[in-house]
Amino acid sequence: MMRMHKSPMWETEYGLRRKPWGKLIRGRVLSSLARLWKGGTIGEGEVRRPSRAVCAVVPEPTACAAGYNPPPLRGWKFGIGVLVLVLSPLFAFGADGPKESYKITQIPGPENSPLEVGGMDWMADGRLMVCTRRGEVWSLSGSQWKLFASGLQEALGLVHGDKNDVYVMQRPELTHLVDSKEAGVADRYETTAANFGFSGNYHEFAYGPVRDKDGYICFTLNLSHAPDDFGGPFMGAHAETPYRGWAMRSVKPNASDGKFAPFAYGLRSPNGLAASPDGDIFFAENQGEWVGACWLGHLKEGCFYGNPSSMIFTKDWNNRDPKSVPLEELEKKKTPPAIVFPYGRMGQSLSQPTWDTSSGKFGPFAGQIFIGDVQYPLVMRATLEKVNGDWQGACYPFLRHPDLQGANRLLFAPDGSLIVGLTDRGWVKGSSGLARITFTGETPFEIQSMSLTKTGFNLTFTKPIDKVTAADVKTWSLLHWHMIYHHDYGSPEADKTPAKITSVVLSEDGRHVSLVLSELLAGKVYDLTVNGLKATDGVELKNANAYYTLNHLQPK
Amino acid sequence: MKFFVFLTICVGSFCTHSLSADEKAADPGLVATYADGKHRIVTLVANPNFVLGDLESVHPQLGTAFTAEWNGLLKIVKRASYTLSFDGTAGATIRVDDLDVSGKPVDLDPGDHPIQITFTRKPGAARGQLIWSADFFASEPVPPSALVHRDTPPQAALQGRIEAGQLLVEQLNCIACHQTTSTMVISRPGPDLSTVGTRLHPAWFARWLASPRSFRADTAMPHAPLKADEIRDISAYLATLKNVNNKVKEPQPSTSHVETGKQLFDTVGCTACHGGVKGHSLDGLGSKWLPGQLAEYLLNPKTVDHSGRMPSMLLQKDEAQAIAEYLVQSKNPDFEVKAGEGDMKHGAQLFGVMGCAKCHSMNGQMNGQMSKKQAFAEQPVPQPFATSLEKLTGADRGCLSAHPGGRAMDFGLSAMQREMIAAFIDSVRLHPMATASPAYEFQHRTQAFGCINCHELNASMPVDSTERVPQLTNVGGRLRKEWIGEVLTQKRRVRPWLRRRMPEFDPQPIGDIPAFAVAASGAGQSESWPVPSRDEIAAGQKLLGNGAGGFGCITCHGFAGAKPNVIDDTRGPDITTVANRLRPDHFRRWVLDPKRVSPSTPMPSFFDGMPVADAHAKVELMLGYVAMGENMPPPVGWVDKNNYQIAVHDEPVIMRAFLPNADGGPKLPRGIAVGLPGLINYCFDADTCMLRFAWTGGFLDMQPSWSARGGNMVKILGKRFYRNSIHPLRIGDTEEPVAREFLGYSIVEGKPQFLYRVGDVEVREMIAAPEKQLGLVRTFELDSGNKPVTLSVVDEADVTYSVANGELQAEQVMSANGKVPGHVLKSAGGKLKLTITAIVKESK
Repeated sequence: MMRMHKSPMWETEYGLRRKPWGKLIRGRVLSSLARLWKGGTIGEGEVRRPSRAVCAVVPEPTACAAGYNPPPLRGWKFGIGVLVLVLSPLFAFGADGPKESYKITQIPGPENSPLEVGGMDWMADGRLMVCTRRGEVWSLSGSQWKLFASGLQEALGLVHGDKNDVYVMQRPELTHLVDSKEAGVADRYETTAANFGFSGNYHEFAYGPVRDKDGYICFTLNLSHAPDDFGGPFMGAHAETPYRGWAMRSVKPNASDGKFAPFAYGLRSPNGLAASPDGDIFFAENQGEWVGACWLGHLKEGCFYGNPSSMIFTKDWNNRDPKSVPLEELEKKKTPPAIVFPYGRMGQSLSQPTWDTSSGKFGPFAGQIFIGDVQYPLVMRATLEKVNGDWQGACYPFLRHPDLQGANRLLFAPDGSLIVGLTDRGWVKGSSGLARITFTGETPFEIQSMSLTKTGFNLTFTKPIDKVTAADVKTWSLLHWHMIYHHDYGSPEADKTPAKITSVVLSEDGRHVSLVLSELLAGKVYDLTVNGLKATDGVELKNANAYYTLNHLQPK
Repeated sequence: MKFFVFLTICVGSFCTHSLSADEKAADPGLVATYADGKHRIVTLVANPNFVLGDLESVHPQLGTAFTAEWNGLLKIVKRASYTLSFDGTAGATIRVDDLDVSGKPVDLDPGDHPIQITFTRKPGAARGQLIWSADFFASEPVPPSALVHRDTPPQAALQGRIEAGQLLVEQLNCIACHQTTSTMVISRPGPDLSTVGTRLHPAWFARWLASPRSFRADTAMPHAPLKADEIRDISAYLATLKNVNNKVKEPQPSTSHVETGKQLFDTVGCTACHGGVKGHSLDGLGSKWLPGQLAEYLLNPKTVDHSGRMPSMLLQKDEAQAIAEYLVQSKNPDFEVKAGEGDMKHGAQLFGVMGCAKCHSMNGQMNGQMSKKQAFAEQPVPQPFATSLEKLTGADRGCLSAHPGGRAMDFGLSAMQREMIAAFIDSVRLHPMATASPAYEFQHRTQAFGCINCHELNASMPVDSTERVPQLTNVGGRLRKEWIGEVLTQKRRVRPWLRRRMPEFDPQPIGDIPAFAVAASGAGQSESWPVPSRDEIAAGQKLLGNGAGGFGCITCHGFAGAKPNVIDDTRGPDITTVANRLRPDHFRRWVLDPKRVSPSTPMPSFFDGMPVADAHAKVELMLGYVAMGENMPPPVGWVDKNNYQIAVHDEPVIMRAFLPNADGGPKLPRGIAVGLPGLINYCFDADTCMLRFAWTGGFLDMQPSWSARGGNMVKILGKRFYRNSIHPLRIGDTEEPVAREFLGYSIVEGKPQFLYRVGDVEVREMIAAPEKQLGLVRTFELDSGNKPVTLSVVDEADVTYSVANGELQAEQVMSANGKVPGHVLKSAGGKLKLTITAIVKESK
């Protein structure tokens, strides 16, 4: 019970703690130059006056290719200004820094109520509904908050109903909240589904609900926190609390007969359930025993997703010990993750995915997935493609900002902004409230997508790229590795091997690069780092990594 | 040590008083004369109070049967009619101005009035507490400031020296070597040495053994008659005593740590015993201790010090580290000179022979019971018996000689210290300290453990009074005995805002100090706190609250672990801890007039100008309310900044939560807690569609569910008044239980109307509170069609049921075994509205 230090959401040894030295140094030089520009002083060891020889070879200040237009320079400041110009191809926008593509603002919450966000959805009438871990459901209309329901038991998800109603997942049950008097307040709390075990164990979270393409309602049940006696060293399922580690789905669309049945299993701590615009259901699994790193999975009927504790609720199980199932059998049964999020580098506690339905209002990522993390102040990005009939794809860093701490639930707003519902209490400091990410109109220079070809990967960029750098093989570092599927907590990135790039083909428009590899292996995560690539406008790549989970090769 | 200096002052002041008594100035305390036929003791006491068990006495040198006489002056400041009495065992007399005034009102003018109290102890338990009352204050123990005396008799001054001698004998642990017939003298061992080779710098040992007092002038460690090579051998042995489980890593020196450490050292209370010229010096500590080891020791001193000299200051790890780093800044280079190599085997032998193991334990074991590893030499040679304490006299004064020789240890005693020890020995030779005397013990131990270094006690004032800490005067009459124990040894604290920290003591050396405190106060058995009625609770909520008619207690006092609402600086202890800490009689006195109990308290009086009867009535209501302790519902106007505590005021509150059940029942993860206005709360279990229990008072503390990872069982506040274990409805002819399924609830006038299925019949159940009484009214609405419906309840103690279907009343029945009376209402079925009213007798 007490081995909490190993659970995923608070593990901090890896990845993101590493200092991005390159960026740090660049940032320092830039900021000290900026200070000098404003008449400030030089910090120790940061910048030295350039020599005359350097000054002599630079072009006139007005000739700056980046459109940079400095004020008149005098005396020694002139020298510094010239230095900026010399370096300006490196620093793109010089002392002003690149314009931000995304702005983060706070949406003020209701007074005297900590908004520890468990779920969000829009009502047909435009109200934003927010449910919280303290069991409240609030509606936001304009800037007006109104308490729609209260007294629920840790509400971790919410989906709108037909009219003045919502479905809310709370620990003991799925509840249909109905505002029958149209007063803006629920007056009926109807139990929709409670046919699952709930013992009071603190880790028995329930996530969802979501509606799939046919209107079926779906939710998932976290395993109990427990010692090694039933399937996992930290979490498992008791026979007395059925369907822990399962996804449940209504027997009829919209749960019209109020019946739910077990749907898929092998889950561990799937804090993040969402339906794609096409109505496919995806869930975010959290790293731990049998889960090498956090990942995004496609939820399909009858499928098994890796943690064997929940097998005890399968038919004809006959009280076997899930730990006694041979690994080969589990491996054969297991549905692989659609996208693996390298632990540490891409967060540590994956939360809810959401699809960019803004048609470009949120920038150049329409149709892509945005996904949060509860451990680090992150919103990440992912793309999916169907290969051989199954979804697989890549994930990418997107934004990291202190105001995004506890990004537990994500939801696009009609205006194309992304609303981030915050909570990380118990694992990190305990954030709450709503943040809003808005696209400023300034296209970021990013890897727009990484997709699989028959011979390698296609990379699409949001801006035309510098052809000279792109043609250099050293620009593209590609590794592959895999997770080890085992009872232990997490997994190292095993068998890290550089992939051999045999050719790099750049498209006419300069936005696509095709990497041809000497071989492609299924069952690997392809881990890409782009080195020193700039757009033709001189901007550096904002995030230089992409991670593609290759389950299936493209059919020949 | 501070202690020695303190004794010197004490004894010095006793002497001064007796020699140059100023006729005008009076000294605190009364002159007590006790006699048991064999021995007569004249001594100064702060008051004449005592509580004695059958086998106890007022002084350890007296038998249990004695006569006592207390003489002195009663200091009157205000002219009034006073009534004095000696509360407790009958038979005492009180004379003021030479008149018998026991229990009789007497007019007294300002000034000093001779007072004499006499008492004869008869067999059996006895108690005496001098109390008084007047028209301007309620009955209270006569405060020590009102009891003074002039002319300290020489015998009392001598008694002071004897008692100071006792403290010295204990501090120097004389009885480790010298047997005594005085069973009430305690032994205070030196540090445990089993890991000393890991803790301290190896170079330090030899210099320390050679000359302890040149390192620390006031040490209790004697200078032993050892030759230079013997010292090297013992040092070599000590250096081998390693902590095999040592995990301490020595820190990197850090200036900021040192500064933090100094700040902490100066504020948390270290200086009360280790301060300036008067304290136990810590000079040169850096030449003795390794900082990491010192920090470890500071965190848990009792692993090394079994004597209770050094308590735990409840430091955090980083705080201990900082203080240690600060303390090791002081070096004594003389003690860093490494002695030559010694013979550790011989050293181990010497350790036994010289009697080191008499004071120093190994792994907590006294008298050289070392593990094999530590004593790789043979078992220490048993050392010859030292002379018994009482025989240390005449020519053979051993360690007490001005220049100890032979095998005697040199403690570096001053002439006055020698005289005090001699006075003690002379006294106990004739009359051993052999009778348990709790009131005496209290005075004695509050000195021995340095309590009075920080706390005011009777006329004794702490040296450093920059921060107001609770006084110890009458502490046993103010606080519950159990609470005193919890404070001393279980880290219970209620004043987190104090910079100075109350240390935590090891229970073993502390002994029964809580009981001694009660005995010294003379207070009677503490009455238990009352069980309040609902009306009293509600009245108390108002009185302590911020609304109309409230005293605004929550302005300064915290509630249920949260800080006070309004201000942060002059905080008072959490209100919910009151009943756990205080005796109810003290709570009354305190609330009525705090400044009478403690003139320096920032707590104001709220009853000035109020008729006495009204004030007393209000205090009783407050008393009833705070008696609920952690079950108290919040005072009116309380705002819980974390919003963990859910209060019910004018609207019902519904909260689904993981709830506890009534006693012993299964826990209720699918619980629904409902709080109704009027302090009636109940728990409905969605798993079984059943009312489980009801409680009154506070509602819920959601912290276990809403803080940290949460999801844990929440706390019910208040007291349960009703428990239910059956579902009253039976539908259909079957005797078999029918499955029930929870369908949710609707909100009707703010209250939940539960909807569930019994078999295939839908039932709506509404639960309300009766108008005035304590209880529940449950209304069931259903349409059973043609199925018969039976509604039954089983009567329980203190519960009166009535069951109705409109006009139809239930019949009273006996259960099958004829023992439990119940009610059964049978109906042919159809559309029904059935009611069960349970009225619970309110217990007081």
